[in-house]
Amino acid sequence: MTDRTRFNLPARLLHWSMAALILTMLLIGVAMVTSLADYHALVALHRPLGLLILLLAILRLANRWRRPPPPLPRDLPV
Amino acid sequence: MTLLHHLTGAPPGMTTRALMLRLAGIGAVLAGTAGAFTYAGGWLSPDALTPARVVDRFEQVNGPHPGFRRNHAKGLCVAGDFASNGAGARLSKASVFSAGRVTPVEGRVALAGGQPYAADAAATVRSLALRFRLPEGEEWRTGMNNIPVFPVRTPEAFYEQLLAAKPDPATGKPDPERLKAFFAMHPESAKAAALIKARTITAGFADSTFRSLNAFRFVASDGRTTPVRWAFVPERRPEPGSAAQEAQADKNVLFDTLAAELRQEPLHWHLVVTLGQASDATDDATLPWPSDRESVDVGTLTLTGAAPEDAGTCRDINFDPLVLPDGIAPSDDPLLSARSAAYARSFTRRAGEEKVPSAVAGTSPDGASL
Repeated sequence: MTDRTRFNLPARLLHWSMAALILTMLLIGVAMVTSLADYHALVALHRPLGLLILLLAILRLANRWRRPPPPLPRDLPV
Repeated sequence: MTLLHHLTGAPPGMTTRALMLRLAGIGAVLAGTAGAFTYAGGWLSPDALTPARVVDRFEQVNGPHPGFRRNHAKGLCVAGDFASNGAGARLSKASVFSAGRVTPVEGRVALAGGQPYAADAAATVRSLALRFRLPEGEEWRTGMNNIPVFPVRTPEAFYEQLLAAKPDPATGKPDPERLKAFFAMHPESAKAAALIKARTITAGFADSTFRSLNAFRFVASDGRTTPVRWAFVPERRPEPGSAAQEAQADKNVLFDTLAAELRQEPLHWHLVVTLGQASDATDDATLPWPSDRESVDVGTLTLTGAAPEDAGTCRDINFDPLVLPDGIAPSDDPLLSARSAAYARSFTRRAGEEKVPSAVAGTSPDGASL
């Protein structure tokens, strides 16, 4: 029996790994545009990370479609 | 149940102490994130050189020329191909060096400096930038100059030199005191400047040798790497520039001559790769490598035509020296990443600006070369 009030484990893993990745991307982004010495290395990191996030977003949609999320909390205004 | 519980929506059973701990945890994460952004964005080091400041200095020295490259502003597009002779295949696995491979090339010849309408002068540094289109979407881009070494070792020195060499509006020449102070701070630049000054200046683009100046690494299929510098050496015998050429009325004489020559016949350059040894500096473009280093002729560049800069030609190509195919890798030269960063910034700025036609049409104003 699955718990209908929680997101499933893959959803939670995807959520937090993507949160960390997106924050990292934002940090790399601001560093990249101000750095001369590390510009190339940072761009080389920024590109594959962006693709990874796209891939995870697709996985996330697939997981959401297969295992619909729990209903919103009742005290949340619609 | 406190007001804090109410505001945060905490469960009624939670102690105030536990709630405060949780809030402190959230606060720490937020503060850490804000601190990391402040550091990464350079706000803690306002004096550090950034790509934007490099490009700002070009605009400061040359005045605003919207739509044009901030450096090497005056140029003409060229096209042709590169035929590999196979001699480079043992040094680099890049497909451009496979025996018999012919790679299409687009490029640009230009004069250094940020003045798109300046009259051609023999002593102005000439450049050749190329984009090789390899199979499977790979590209190799390279920008080269007709000087033996680069005038500075670091991006910071480059930034200082731009201002030190700025012509005084009154005399049209740089302030000698400022130049002297710059060379005193950068003895490596003083030595490089002497080598650059002593170079033989040839008649035009067609008989100029264009050098990578920065070092790169060739990566062979077995993983072996070789430090390299490369040069495009003209097949045509170099002729010294003549004073008569200087006196011509055509402000674009160097470009118009090249375009006229290309209308007559294709022009050829050999790609000569110099192999560095362990003792050769790869992180200092002001230092020449010993002249006895082995060099390998790896193929022939043939330019077949020229066209004015436009949307469909080379105008919107960023000749970023770090767009490299598998088989060519950057060296530890600090100028490479800085060039990549500053070119990207210059590209972003001009991409958002209205374009006016280039001063160089590739045809002489008197029509003589048509």
